[in-house]
Amino acid sequence: MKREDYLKILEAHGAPEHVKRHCMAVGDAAVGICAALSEAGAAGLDAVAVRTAGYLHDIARAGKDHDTAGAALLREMDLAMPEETRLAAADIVERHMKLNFPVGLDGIDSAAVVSLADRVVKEDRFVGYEARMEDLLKRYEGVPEVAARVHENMERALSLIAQIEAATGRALREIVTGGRVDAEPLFMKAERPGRYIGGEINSIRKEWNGTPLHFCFAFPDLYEIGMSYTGMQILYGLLNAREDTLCERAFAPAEDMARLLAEGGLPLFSLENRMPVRGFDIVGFTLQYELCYTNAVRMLGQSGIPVFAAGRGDGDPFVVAGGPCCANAEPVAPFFDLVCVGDGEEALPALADAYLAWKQGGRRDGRDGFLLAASKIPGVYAPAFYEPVYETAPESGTGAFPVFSRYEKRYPELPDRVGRAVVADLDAAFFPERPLVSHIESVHDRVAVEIMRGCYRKCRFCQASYACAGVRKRSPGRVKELVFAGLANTGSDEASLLSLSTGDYPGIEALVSDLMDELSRADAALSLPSLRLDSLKGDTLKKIAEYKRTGLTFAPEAGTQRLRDFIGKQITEDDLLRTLDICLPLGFAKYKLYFMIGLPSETYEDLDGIAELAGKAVRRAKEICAARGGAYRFHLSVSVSNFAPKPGTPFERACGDGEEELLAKIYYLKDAVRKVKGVGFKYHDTRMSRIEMLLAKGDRRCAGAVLRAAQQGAGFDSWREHFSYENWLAAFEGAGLPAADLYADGALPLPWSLIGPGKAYDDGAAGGAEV
Amino acid sequence: MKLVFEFTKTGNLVYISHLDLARLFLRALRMSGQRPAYSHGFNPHPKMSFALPLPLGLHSTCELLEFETDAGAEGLDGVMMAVNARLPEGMRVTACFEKPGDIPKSLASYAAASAYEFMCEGVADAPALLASFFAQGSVRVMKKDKKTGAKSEKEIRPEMIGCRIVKDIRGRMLAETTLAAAPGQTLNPLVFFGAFCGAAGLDPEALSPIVTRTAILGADGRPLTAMLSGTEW
Repeated sequence: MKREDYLKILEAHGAPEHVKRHCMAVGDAAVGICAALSEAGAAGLDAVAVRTAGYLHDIARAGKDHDTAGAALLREMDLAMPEETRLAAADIVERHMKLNFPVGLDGIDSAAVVSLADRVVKEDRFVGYEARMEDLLKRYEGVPEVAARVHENMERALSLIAQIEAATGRALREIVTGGRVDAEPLFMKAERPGRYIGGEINSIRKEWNGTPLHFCFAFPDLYEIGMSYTGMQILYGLLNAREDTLCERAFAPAEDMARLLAEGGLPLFSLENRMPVRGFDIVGFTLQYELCYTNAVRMLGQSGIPVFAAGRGDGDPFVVAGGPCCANAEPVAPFFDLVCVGDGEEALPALADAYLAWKQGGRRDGRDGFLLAASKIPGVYAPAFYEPVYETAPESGTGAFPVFSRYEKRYPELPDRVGRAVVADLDAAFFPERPLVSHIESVHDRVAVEIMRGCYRKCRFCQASYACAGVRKRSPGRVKELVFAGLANTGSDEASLLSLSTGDYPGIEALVSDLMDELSRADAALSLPSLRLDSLKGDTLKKIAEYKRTGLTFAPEAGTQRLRDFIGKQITEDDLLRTLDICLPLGFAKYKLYFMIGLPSETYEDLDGIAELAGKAVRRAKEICAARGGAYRFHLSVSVSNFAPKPGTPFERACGDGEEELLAKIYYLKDAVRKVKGVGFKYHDTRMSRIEMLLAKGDRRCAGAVLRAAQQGAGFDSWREHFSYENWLAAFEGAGLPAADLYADGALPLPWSLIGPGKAYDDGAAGGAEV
Repeated sequence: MKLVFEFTKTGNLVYISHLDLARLFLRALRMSGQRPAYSHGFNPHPKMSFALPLPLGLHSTCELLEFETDAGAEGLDGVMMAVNARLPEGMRVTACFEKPGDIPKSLASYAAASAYEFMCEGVADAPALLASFFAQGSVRVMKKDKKTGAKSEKEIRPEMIGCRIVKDIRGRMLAETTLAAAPGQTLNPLVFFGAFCGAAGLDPEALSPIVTRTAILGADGRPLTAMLSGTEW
């Protein structure tokens, strides 16, 4: 019988909440003690009887003489186990209050295990025997002869515990709790405790002890951010689908929870089994954006895992990085035992296999043994095996400061370049049909189905596009299957199609049109992020307009055709105005234009172009509204972000504007846009962009600055209220690094040159796929 | 038609907020094939409401949710089982009623009080302490305004309706209290317990009671579900 089955029995017998919790806690404790003793060679313990008696020992606590009453209930019950086991459990329940503990460990039996478990758990928490002694002695204060007997029994129990700890080599607390982190007392004190409790719809909690590989997926930002990340949903489902693996989640605790954990001396824990992150075999961080690096470092500290890979030993997990930032993971490489470049659903199962093989092979050659085996997986490398060499390159403009020159491999059999893991066929690849449902409202509260990976367009600044090995599509049939499975299994009423450029999906018109028809019959809506509406015909747009008239976004990225051509952004002024022609009459009244400033070759003429484009849009909107004779309903906002050159893109050597230059451009633009009436203006923090660039293009020495920044309290850097530029500058200085782009010169070798191209998948569709 | 669910909120789920609970229930209803009716305004929202919000951290065996469903009576067979199959551990629908037409207003408007069980260990002489606490003519607590943070004093004695000790075995106390729970006049059981501990010289954090709401009561002192009796599915 499963744990939940016992809970249901307690419920069916009307056990009050506190009794249920106590019974479950004592049952868990008894199971733990029984398993530890059996492992240590104890004979004569009946695991099922212990389990049954433990979980049901107080089933009759609401009434009088609950020990005999509970035993009587068990004797009558119909349970899925042999009758003699059930009767044995009943006997244990009958004796659990008055049991005399045996003198030596040889005398221990199933009943003693359950009684002991009951004595070390107060309500639903392990408190240890000493803490309970006080309570118990107090009960018999007035009756000396009973108190004496109780005291004697206690002495035997204490001696028994000492013998159990000696025989198993583990502390009783650890045996009873299984090493679980007792975090519950913190939840009432934490803001939004739903972030930490787990147990969401479609979450998977496997038996810790029965599963060979423990993998912790660590997301270096808040729960509600991480829960909207589709990559986590994929890898969580994929790994848990393996019988030999359990995958649990840990998110960056908010500031208040981080403080509570530190005050309570508790480590960071996983949501599912509440195990310390340090107790996992592999901890996989996803690096989605550079400004989360400090969170990852802090999470390692909160977990009690040595921050540098070099400092880890036999008792520590392997810490692995994945995600888009691994196009250049060098600035954080010293924190990771392994880096996975490319598609996680290819690399992680191979990594799991390699780990299990290494473990079953007696952990041959220690930690390096596994790292070497993992290095054979495409896209996976161990930073420690590639030692960067720095040399001065005076002609590059970096003066006497040494810059990256080459890597020296530790083993000759390692590849010179790492490559990338690539999922060839999205239809065959795993995608979750039962996505996790966040307990608290997350950023994107909907079922997201990825329809395409990679991008045909290859805008020259776009790392996401260049980091993907070609374009791979999911077939419309499979997309629909996943949308409807996801909705049915989450109860969500909104689905979204995910890709870098949804409008380029071959057959998007038919897919969107079909899906909208089918979804509206199911009372659900479709949202289409990154969809260029000019790629759709009027009929489909009309359908979108019928139930969703939220804002539309358009990303020309640059203000003039010259600059748009230069950066490879295939959008014209005409595209934008034509979209207005189509969409304004349909009732779409809110528009957002995205631009980047600080792009290579940018002049103030290009900035003027941004304001001019906004002006043209406003004039066109007025014409359209006037022609239709309706009221003028049109809202336009211009949103400006700062270009930060990214490794792996054609612009990787661009150095980007300095902070003052960017700021001057923003003020100039703000003035220019203000002159166009009725247009809003939003811009991004230039200092954040500057740090983002430094971290994106850094070499391995950057890790010193990241660690310093984290130690000085940096964290949640992508949240404006937490970001401190001064702290970052001090961190770079403290690490002996210039806060400047060292790799702008065309002739210098690049630290991320280690990452080679993956295999390209060219399906011959629009534009072809280049890598 | 309008249905009323009586359900439990226990275990880990005591730590999710009222709004998140509503989201969770909507999800579970939709997953089980129910289509809760939506309002027809510009921003349609599901027509469902809870009789009385449960403060974070409290357990309950008696929460009430009413919702309008498009499904006819023929679709209601097994609705409880279907929803239960979808709810996460800690939440369970224990009864399902059809709301009679002669109850025109929302259940929330009939709620007047709530019964809570306090379970804690380590209180010596709990009956006498509680009796003397209830014997006071006036109990004042400091209240912090959620928005402004301004502190003010609040009189809670009129909202302390009754109390009885269910069990008191050598310091292990189970007390049942009835506290006001009407619009604008609601006493949070944790505020009540804090005030009690203050008066009795106890440390509420050390005692950390398990608090369970066991009934939502109407003005007549009877559980609201009594109004629905006879309509249970």
